[in-house]
Amino acid sequence: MNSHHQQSANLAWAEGISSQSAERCVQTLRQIVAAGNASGLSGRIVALAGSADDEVRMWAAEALETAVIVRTEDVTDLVSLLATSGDGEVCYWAATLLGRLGNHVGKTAEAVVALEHCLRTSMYLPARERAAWALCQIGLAAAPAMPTLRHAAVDGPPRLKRLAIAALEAIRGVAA
Amino acid sequence: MGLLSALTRKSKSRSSGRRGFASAAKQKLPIFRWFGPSATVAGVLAILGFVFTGKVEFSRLDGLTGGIGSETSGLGDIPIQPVSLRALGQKSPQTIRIATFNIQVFGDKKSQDANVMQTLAQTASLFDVIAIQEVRGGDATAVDRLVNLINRSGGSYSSIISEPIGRTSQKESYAFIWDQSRIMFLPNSAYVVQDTADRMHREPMVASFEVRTVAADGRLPFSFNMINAHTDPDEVSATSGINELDVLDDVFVRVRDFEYQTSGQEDTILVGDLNVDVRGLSELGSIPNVYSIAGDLKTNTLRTKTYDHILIDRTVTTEFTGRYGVLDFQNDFGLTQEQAIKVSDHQPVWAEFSAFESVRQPAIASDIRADGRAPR
Repeated sequence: MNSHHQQSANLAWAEGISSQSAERCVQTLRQIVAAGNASGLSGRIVALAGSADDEVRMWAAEALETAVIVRTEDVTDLVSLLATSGDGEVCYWAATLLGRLGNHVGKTAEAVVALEHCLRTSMYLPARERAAWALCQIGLAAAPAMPTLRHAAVDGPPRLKRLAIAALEAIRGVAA
Repeated sequence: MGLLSALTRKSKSRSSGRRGFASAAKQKLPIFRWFGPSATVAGVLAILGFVFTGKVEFSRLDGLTGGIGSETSGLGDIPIQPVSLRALGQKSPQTIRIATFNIQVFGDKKSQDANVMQTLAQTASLFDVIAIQEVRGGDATAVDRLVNLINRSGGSYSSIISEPIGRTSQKESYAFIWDQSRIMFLPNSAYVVQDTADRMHREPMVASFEVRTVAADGRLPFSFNMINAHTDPDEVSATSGINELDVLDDVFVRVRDFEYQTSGQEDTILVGDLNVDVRGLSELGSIPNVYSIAGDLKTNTLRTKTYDHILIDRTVTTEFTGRYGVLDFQNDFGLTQEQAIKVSDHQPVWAEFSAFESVRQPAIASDIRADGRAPR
């Protein structure tokens, strides 16, 4: 798909996933999954992962797993979702996409604060785990999150402990 | 190497009685079982440990594992060429075909789409056993509809499905479907790998099968166990600090050893959507003699990426005939790309095996290893 077509498709998809109609939303998400390369829509699709509609949630997760390309321009939206959404699945996906950007996350300080907040306060373990994983991917710049990571590395459930330890090692520059 | 640990035995022995296929098809997991260490001594220790504690701590047995299959086969290169299924034609009494197929978001909605189901039924009926990933909806509705459609068209298929698996609310099940006229599901052989250390997002499902045929020239029907796996694409990177391919090698070895010790089963076939090409197989691809049959053939519907694999130990599963491929259902069934994508973003990867067990060469004294077992 050339850039002009990509742009047109993105506009149509942006409209589709903003629709109040769950059916249209699902249809659009399926198109995004089929295309396999949606960019610039990360924040909106992450928000749909917390939809009240089962089918929308399912296809949003599928799009996020297989088709969404996250860019540094998306970081503001993802940070905002992490900071404000009470939905565990939304936080899980926002943290995942920030982790995919890793040390190319751009607005690193904001991202680290949001991820640290999620790691410290989320009631949803998979979201906390993904936050720790994302901090690991960011590496050295995630140093402000070290106190919370240390706490998770001691008191967290087994998998969270492992991820927190890996993140601490990455921050210290130790090979994971 | 990451190791699955503290796997608790919760299942009945396979010898506890065979059930009819109708009931096998309805049998729901979890049917948790422990799977064991590679060395016989370790197996005895594990059993004793289980008797006294009710648990098997595999981490304590790690020192006794390893080295399996590290010998070279001396079989030479198997002539391997991808083959179009159209060229393969009808099923043969001498061979069976197994396949792995990620039927993307295979749930209630998709299974109500007549065109999609027609393609899925046509596809499945080409194979004797199909391992399916991404069954959604928390029940067997979609798989039952597929099996019913095949059977209404003259087939005789059955299925088994796992419990929904996953860390988030978006759980999915594995399934196996098989042609009952040619394949027997070994009762009580299905289980989901128990992963108390939570090393995999979606723990693999295992099931064992045997070809329905009469022994010929002293050769028994081919029997095998299949590990059905679907990795999380965010957890397969060598640089991410967590890599499920570094866990799947343990799964492969331990399932193989457990099956060998409990039922004499030698042939383990790991299949599924692994979300990596051959280079990304990491520790799974480093098990001696274990390799991906279809290698880096493109397996997504757009034919741009390699995600799906069938892995065997080339020195053990010598029943592999050398024929394999990726079924291009878009072209083979004359679909548009839009229609094909509605079926799945993946295409099935398949491989052909002899219907009979290979004749093994007897071990000679120099082949006996320190653990007392001959190399397979």
